[in-house]
Amino acid sequence: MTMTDSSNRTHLTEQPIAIDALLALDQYPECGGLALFAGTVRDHHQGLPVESLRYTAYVPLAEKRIAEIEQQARERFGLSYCRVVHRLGALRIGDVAIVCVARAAHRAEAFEACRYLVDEVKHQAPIWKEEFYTDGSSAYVQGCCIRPDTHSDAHSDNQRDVHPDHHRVHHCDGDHS
Amino acid sequence: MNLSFELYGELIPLAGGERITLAAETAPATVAEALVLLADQCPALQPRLEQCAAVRDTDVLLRSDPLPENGHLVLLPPVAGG
Repeated sequence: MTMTDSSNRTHLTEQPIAIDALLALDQYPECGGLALFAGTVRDHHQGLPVESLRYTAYVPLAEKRIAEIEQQARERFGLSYCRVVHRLGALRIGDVAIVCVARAAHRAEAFEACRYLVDEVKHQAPIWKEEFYTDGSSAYVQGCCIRPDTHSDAHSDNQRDVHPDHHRVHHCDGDHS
Repeated sequence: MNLSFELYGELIPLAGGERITLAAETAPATVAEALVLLADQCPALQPRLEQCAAVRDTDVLLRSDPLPENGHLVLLPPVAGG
């Protein structure tokens, strides 16, 4: 159920991400700033030695939300171009899990937009990370609640992920940075 | 009425599968009522349901929303991509 027809995907892939193809260097001559963020699989999490990861997603909503986040970034930062691609499936240490590209007239907007893109995808896209540890155990990483009417948000102002562009408010219990 | 729940993330090992179906004598009126029946059927999920988004296709529903006519809900636990 996690894996659907890959022909409809633009933001999710089970294949290694081809970063060069996402940069669009032969387009957008008005841009003088290109910011690139690549998130890679690290070998530890909260003191536990990690051997590998597995990402799964609810593909229809993840695709929709990442597309919305890209559009919000274009409007908010005046970008000429941005792209986000997230890996799914089994990943090893050092593999690229997510790539965000932002291109703007100047570097400041590109840098800010790149951070916005990765933060919003982490907090909003229905993607899950299962970690496999060197002792043979595994666990899902705790993350952000995307339920729009959760009661816990009303009592956890210090943990709120409030963004002026969003009607949704998300509550993150775990550190999955 | 038959209800079906499509599960993701940590819900799958808790429930022992990716899908749960159950028969309800009376059709639940709301998403919240359907989730009460699910918790009765699968107590292991109960502690997690509060933090789950209930979704129809790509629409995230409120607990007070009517249950979809086909009785199918996608349940999404807290997300952790990136």
